[in-house]
Amino acid sequence: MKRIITVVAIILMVTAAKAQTLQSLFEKYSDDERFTYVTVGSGMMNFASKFAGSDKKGKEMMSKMKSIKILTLTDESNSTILKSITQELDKVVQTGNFETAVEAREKGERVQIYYRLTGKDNADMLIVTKEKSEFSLIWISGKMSKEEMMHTFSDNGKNINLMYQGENS
Amino acid sequence: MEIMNELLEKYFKGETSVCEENELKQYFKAGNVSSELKIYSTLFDTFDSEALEKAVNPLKKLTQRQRKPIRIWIRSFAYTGIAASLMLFLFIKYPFQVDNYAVVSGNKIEDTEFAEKYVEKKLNHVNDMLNKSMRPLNNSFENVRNDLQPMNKLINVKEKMEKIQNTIQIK
Repeated sequence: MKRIITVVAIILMVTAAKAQTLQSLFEKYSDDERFTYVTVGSGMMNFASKFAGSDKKGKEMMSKMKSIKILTLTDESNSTILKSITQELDKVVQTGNFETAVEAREKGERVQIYYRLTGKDNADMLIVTKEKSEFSLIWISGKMSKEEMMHTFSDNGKNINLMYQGENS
Repeated sequence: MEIMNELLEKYFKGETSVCEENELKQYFKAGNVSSELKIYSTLFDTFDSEALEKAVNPLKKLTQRQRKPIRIWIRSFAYTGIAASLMLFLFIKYPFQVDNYAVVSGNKIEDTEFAEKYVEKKLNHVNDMLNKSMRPLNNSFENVRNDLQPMNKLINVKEKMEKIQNTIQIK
């Protein structure tokens, strides 16, 4: 009996280790020379004042963010890598309990915003942008709700706020 | 006979003393048991036979393990050594990382300002993209809002109707 439990536990651990997460996806491609990887963790407050401007609410929200990680592929000719990362991303989104918050398309440009709760107060927002010459993954994690996450873009992008007003009313 | 009956009654109630129980045992062991009490003789026989039984695997005496005296300082030295080597291993494998950095074409740039500016630029770009692609949606929302403005007048009409109803009721 003990042996069976041990074997099952080992199998579960191996499968869990094999399953790709958003973290492992970023880790995989962060060292790849074809990608540009940027991470901002501490010192968000300085960053908050730059991005959120004078808006108090915006500053508050930016201070709630724990980290922002960006992975960018700029080589348009490299379609194989783009294909593989897109496939891997789809799997991560499916298995990672992400829900689609926004999906927008215009003239070859595409923005997808996914959202998920990772704990009591923690949430992840994943922004995927596809353009003709660029593919970017932006992963924002912090202690904020869906609406608060969306407010990140509300300063200039009032449209999202409008959309949420429409949803709430 | 009557004494035995009384003793048995006491025995089953659990009130007999050790002497009385021995007396009962001897009575049943002797064999001169009256026919009325013979049914109990098997019970006492079983007690006797069980008392003679010996354990197949004799129980081992449990004794406390005697620990070899190990010098505390040797132990603590060993533990400290293990902890230190673990720390060293972790430090080599996962060195202290700066939170804000960028990796461009495989080159790590540990510059907070650069990383922040890059993130700022990217977020602004996403903002612009969203603005562009959501403009038609924004316009349609505006149109719907404008179209629904006459509906606000209905609220006034409703209020007036209620006022009229109230005045009629008062009269």
